[in-house]
Amino acid sequence: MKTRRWQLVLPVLAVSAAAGTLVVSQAGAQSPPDTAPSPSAAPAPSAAPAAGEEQAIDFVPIPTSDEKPKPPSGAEWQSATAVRFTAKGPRARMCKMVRVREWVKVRCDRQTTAVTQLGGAAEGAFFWLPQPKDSEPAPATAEVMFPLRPGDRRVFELFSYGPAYGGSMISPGLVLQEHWIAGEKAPVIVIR
Amino acid sequence: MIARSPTADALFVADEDHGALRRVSLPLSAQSTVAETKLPGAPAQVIALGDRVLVTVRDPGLLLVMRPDDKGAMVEEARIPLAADAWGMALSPDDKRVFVTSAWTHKVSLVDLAEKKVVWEVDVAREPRGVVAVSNDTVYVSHLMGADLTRITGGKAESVDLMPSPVRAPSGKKLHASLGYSLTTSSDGDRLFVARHAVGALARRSWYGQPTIDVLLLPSSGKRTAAEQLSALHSSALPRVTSAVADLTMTADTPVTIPGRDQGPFVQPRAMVYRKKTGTLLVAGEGDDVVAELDAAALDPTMAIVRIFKVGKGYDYAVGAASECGAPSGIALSEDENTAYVACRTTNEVASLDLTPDPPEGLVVNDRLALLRYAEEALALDAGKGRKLFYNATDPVVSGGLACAGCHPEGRDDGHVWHEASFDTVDGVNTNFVGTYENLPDLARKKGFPRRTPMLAGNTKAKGPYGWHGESDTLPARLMGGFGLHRWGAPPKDPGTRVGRSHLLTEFLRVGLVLPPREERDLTDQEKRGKEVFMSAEAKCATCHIPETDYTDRTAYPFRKVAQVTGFDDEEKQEFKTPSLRFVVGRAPYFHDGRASTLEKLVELNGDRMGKTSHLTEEDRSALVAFLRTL
Repeated sequence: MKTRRWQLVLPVLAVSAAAGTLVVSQAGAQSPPDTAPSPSAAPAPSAAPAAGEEQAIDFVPIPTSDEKPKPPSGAEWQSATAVRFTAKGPRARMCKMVRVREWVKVRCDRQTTAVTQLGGAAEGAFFWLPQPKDSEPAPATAEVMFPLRPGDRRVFELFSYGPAYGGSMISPGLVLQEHWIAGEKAPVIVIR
Repeated sequence: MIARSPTADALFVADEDHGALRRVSLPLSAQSTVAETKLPGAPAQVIALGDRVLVTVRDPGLLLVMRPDDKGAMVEEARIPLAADAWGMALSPDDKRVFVTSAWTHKVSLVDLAEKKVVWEVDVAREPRGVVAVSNDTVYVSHLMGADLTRITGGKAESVDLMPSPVRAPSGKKLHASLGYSLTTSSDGDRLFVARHAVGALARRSWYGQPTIDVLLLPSSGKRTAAEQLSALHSSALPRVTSAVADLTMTADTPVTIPGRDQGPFVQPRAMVYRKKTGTLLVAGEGDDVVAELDAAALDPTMAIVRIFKVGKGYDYAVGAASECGAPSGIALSEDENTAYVACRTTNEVASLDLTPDPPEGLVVNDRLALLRYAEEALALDAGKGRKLFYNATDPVVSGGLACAGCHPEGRDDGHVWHEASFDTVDGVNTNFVGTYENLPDLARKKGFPRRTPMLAGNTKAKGPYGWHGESDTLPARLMGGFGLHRWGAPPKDPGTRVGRSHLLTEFLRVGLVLPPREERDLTDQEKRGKEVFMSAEAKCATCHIPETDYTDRTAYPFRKVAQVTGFDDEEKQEFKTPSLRFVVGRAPYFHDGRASTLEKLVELNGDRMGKTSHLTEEDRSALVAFLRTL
């Protein structure tokens, strides 16, 4: 992508891509705006996963507290640690996950037409889709960020680009699932 | 339906259609030897122990303990009478006792294998099928219809709430479930997996719902004090972000607010095993001839597909179903868990699958290791073809994604009240069934008319008419009407093929469906009194429910309008055909809209709407219900 301009739109439930912009959707429309991250505090969506071997997701204990977790800054994401999915299917080989404190960000470098949360608590989840290149019909990457807390149950889908019935170009995609059973050391995160 | 011997030298197949136990030698090949042992009735399930084989027999209800004789033939060591329609089995962890479900008679029994006698028998909800023991005195039971499980501890049964497919349920609505044939636990005993069909679960172009593996976190592992469902609830207000191409091409049929796959990884789950070495589940899809391997670690395993083995092959358009490995209905694993053995019911075969290669990116695996035919078709030619069609969900002529057996399992019923509505799809305006009104596009502004799934077994002999309003003169005509209703959109425009399919299915429905067991005995005094009420000129039950013609006159009558059941549109037609009362005891809820959950409520609600029952004393009402239970 030659030029990247990131736009944070808060709070929103659904946002469409406008020409020349990158779309951000913040899950949890019930959150008052002042509790959502400011654009400057928002994670840098283009932050590449940290170099080096992927670690177990609880390579250092995941902080837990009753407080609403504050999203990492862009600088924090720059030094994020690459972590392993509990399970990753072959279709998700272009997906990476990084962790900062109790936050993870999943990035998949494959054509994506939409990102949706299908189930679970919406609070704290963020999505990004870039504006596609002129020659490309759909964004070439997508990112999902969310906090990790005991008791979590979340399911997301990263829809693919391809013909479906009725002329739609939104095809079934990758399904990202996270749950953390209270009392267990770490969450289970599966992408297939 | 299939089990591997602990010594790994044989498979045992409970061959229901031939009333036999079959011993198939391993390693499996087309030349493996097959030894047949005729049984006193149709078997349902088999468990292979070190020196014995346990088999359930449906009618009469039995648990057979078999062992090999000096020549290797299987002989009966013990025959333990159980409630009729003995079906599922689970061995206690100490191998000393076995729990057995009896489907039609809705009982669960515990049998002591040393004493060879029943320790207890408890009454449970309709059609108990799958059973799994989590301790020596606690089992979970799944049901052919209904969302909730049953937990039995020490002979006491209680209902366990389990929401079908929470991530696909409309905004937290508890859906109906069907096809609960199978459940299993993880190797550490922490999770219970329940394979079934979530009727009305949301999906693109969904009319029938979706298959589901619902997960219950168990207290028996010691990590929690009560069972808890592992679920992420769907709601209509969840966030999403869409690209420009999505905004331009998205239609009412392709929303991004629900999962993208319009078909689940399997159709009509019939059997399931847990593969410990990979933490995966293998599920036999009776309808689409697959074995799906799913990630058991995921929150929703049906959305974490590892791979799908397409075991069915040889699809002949003239028949519309697989000629090889059709309707997989049982799975067993080799001891090293590198091979899966699959019993394919409609083709009388066993296939083996190699589980060792890495899953492909495309998810679908077409290879089988071996295939063995263990018996020839038990039915005449057309009825046998009809049987293949009845279980098959892939034929585009008969239905759109769910077989006849998906709603009429074994010719019985799913206990569901469907919604019949005319609405606009990509094919134009058509009249289709949907599982719940939330499956209809918002623009339709409809909820549909209620249509309770009828039971087929025992109700297909008459020439006609058929349909809730008696609108079809013959059974083939009714089936062709059903071909159009049971899908999303319009059926293929090929009248000749539809006629052919309808006649094959008619043959199977009339000669191939097995009737539920019925006890032949004299009526009790209460039942005799109920019969007198039924036959009386004042009650007039027998005027329309004519005993000589299976308790129906097959005539539609106008009925006084009553308040519509919540969640449906007002009926346009108030004429309904007299339904047969054969086997009425086992097919609640009642009426076309399911408004009466029991026979007692049916009589109580009736008043004088059908015949005249308002004058009956409480004692006579009970007697009438007791008589109805014997039909």
